[in-house]
Amino acid sequence: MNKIKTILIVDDEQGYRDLLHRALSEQGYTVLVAAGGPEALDILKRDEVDIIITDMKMPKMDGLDVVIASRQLRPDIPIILMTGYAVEERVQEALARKASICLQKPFQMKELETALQSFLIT
Amino acid sequence: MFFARHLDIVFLIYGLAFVIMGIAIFTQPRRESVFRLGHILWLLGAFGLTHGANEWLDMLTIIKGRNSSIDLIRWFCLVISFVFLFEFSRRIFRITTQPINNWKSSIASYLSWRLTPALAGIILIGGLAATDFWQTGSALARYFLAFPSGILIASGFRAYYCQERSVMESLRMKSNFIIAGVSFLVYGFLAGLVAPKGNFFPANWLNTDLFIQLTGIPVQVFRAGCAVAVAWSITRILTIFNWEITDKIQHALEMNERITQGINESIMLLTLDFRILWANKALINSTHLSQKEILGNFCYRVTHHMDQPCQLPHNACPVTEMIRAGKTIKVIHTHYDKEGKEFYAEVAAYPVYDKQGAITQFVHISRDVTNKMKTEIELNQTREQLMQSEKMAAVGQLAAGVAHEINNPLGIILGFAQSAAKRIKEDDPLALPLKSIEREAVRCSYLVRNLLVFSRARKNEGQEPLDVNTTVNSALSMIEAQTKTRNVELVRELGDGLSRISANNNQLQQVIVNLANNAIDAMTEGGTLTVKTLLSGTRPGYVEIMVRDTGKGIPKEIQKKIFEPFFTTKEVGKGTGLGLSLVYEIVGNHRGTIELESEEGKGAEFTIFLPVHRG
Repeated sequence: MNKIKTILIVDDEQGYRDLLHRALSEQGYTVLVAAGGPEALDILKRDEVDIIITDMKMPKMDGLDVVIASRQLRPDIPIILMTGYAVEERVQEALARKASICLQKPFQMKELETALQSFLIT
Repeated sequence: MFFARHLDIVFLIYGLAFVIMGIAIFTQPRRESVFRLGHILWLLGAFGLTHGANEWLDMLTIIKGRNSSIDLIRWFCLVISFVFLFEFSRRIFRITTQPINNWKSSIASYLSWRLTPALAGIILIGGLAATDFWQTGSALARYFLAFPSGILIASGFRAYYCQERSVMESLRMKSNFIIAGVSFLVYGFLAGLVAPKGNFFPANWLNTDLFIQLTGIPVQVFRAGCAVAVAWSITRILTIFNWEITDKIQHALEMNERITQGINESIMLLTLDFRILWANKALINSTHLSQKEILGNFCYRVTHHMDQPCQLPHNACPVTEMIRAGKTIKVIHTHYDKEGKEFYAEVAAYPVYDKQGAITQFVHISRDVTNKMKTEIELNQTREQLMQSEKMAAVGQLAAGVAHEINNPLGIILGFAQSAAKRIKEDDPLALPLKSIEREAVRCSYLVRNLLVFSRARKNEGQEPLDVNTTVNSALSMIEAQTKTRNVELVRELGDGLSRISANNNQLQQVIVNLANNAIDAMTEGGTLTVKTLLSGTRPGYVEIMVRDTGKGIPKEIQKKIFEPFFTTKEVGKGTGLGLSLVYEIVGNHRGTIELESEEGKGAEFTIFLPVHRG
C-alpha cells in the first residue's frame, strides 16, 4: 500500500473520537469518525476509506462485528483494533480474520504512529 | 462313773465350747454382709456366752459347793440363754421360709416376734405359780424354748443351705451345716426334754436320772458333745464372711483394674504436692518410665520433663487452678511420650475430699488429643488460606474494575497530553505543565496496563503447555536493560530438559518481571540477581522457578504480610503494593505455590512451584 489518506475511527467514546481525530488530522490525514458499527458501515459504503481504527468494546456491534462487516464490503482493508485486553477471545478471533494489528489501551500516540507506519511498509 | 466323778471337767468343756462360739461370732466382722444369716448370728452368740456362763457356774457349784446367789445367777443365765436361742431359731426358721403355701409357712406364721416374750412371760408366771420356782422355771424354759429351738434351727439351717447352695457348695460348707443342724436337733432333745427330776409331767418320768439309768452316762456329757460339735461347725461356717470380704475386695480390685486399665485416658492419683500415688496402665505406657520410676515421682517430671510445676503463661496447671479457683479446668498441655516426642494432651484435675471437706488428693486425667489438635491446626490454616485467597480475589476484582473504568479516560488524557506537549514550544509557560501531565499520564498507563493483564488472569484463560525457560528468558529480556543501568549482575541458571508446564505465557512473564523488578529495587547499591529453573527435588511433579537477590532482605515480621494487597515497603508513590498480591494470585491460578526465604540484610529468595503439564 502506498499511502494512507483517509482514516475511519470507530469508537463509542467521544473522548477517543476527538483525540484521534485531532491527533491524526494534525499529521495530515483525513479523519472520519463513527460512534458505532452501523455508522461506520455507512461511511465505509459512502467514502474512500484507506484504514479503519476500531475500538473492541462497543454496545450492539463490537469490534469483531465491525471487522466481519467491513471485510464483507472491503475484503482487504487494513484494520487496527484498540482494546483494553489483548488476550480476549473476540480480539483473538478478530486478529485471526486478518485485522492486522492490536493496540493495547491506554497506548501512547507514538505506538499508533508506529502501527500506521507498518502498513506502509507492507 | 468316770464322767460322774469328773463332771466339773465336762461342764468346763461344755461352757468353753459355747463361749468360744460366742466369742467367734462376736469377733467376726459381719457388717454389710449379703448373707441373711449374718444379721441374726448375734443371737446365737449371745446364747453361746450366756449358756456358757451358765455351765461354768454349774462347774463352780460342783467345785465350790452350792451357793444360793450362784444359783440365782445360774438360773437367769439359763433362761436368758434359751430365750436368745429360741429367738435365733424363730428368726432363722422365718427367713428361710418362702412365702408359699406349705406346712412350713403355716408354722412360720405362728412364729411372730411376740412369741418369744410371750413364752418368757409364761415361764416366769408358771415358775412363780409353782412351789419350786427354780425347778419349774428352768424346766419350762427347757420345754418351751430349748426344745423347739433345736428343731427350728435344724430345719432352718437345712433350708438356708439349700437356698444359698451355690455359694455354700463352692465353699464346701455342706458338712458344717449338716453337723450344725443335727447337733442342734440333738441338743434340742437333750437339753430341752431331759430336765432334772420334778413332780410334774414329763419331768417325773423323762429326766436326767432316767438318762443315767439308761445309758450310764450323765446327759450333760452328751450335751457337751453337742456343744462342741455346734461350736466347731458354727466357727467353720463363720468363714463364709471372711470369704465374702475377700471376695468383695477381689471384685473391687477387678473392677478397678478393668475400668482404669482398659481405657486410653491416662489417670494419676496425685498428692497435694504433685507426687504420683498411683497411675494406670495408659499413663505408664505414655511415658518412657517404668512403674517404679513413676510412683512417688512428681507428675511434672514424668509428663513434662520439668523440674517444677506447670505455670502460666505456658501451661496452666489444672491442679493449681483447682486449688485457687475451686473449679476444674480443662487445658491443653504438651506432654512427652515414650520416645520423647511431643504430643498434645487435654488435662483436667479432679479433687478428692476427706470427711471434713478438705482436699487431700487429686485425680489427674489426660487424654491424647494430638490428632484433634493437628486437624484443628490444619483446619485453621486452610481457613486462613481460604480467607486470604478470597481477599485476594476481591482485591483483584476491585483492581480490575477500577482499571477498566479508568482505561478509556486515561487513554484520552494521555493522548491529548502527548499531542499538546508535542506542539508546545520549550519556553512557553505551558510547556512544564503539559510535559508534566504527559509524563504522569504515561506512568498511569503502565500501571493500568499491568492491572488489566492481571485482571484477565483470574478467568484462567489462555493456559497452554509451554517451556518454562523460554518464558523466563523473554521475561528477563524485558528487564535486562534495567539490570545494566542499576549495577545488577544477572545470572541465569536454567535447568536442562525441564518438563513443560501448563501456563499463561503473558501472566508468567509478568510474574517474573515483577519479582525481578522487586529484586532490583531491593539492591540499592547493586548486587546479583539469580534466576534459576529446575525440576523440583523436594516436590516431585513440580517445576521450580527461583528468583534470588543480594539486597537488604525482608524482615521476618513482614514476610507473612508481603503477599497482602496494598502492602508495600516502598515510599509513597513508588509502588502500588499490588504486584506481589497479584503474583500470588496468578501462581494460585496456575495451581502452584510461592515461598519466600529471607533474612534482614541477607537478601531474599522467592521460589515458585508450578505443576508439570500432564497429557
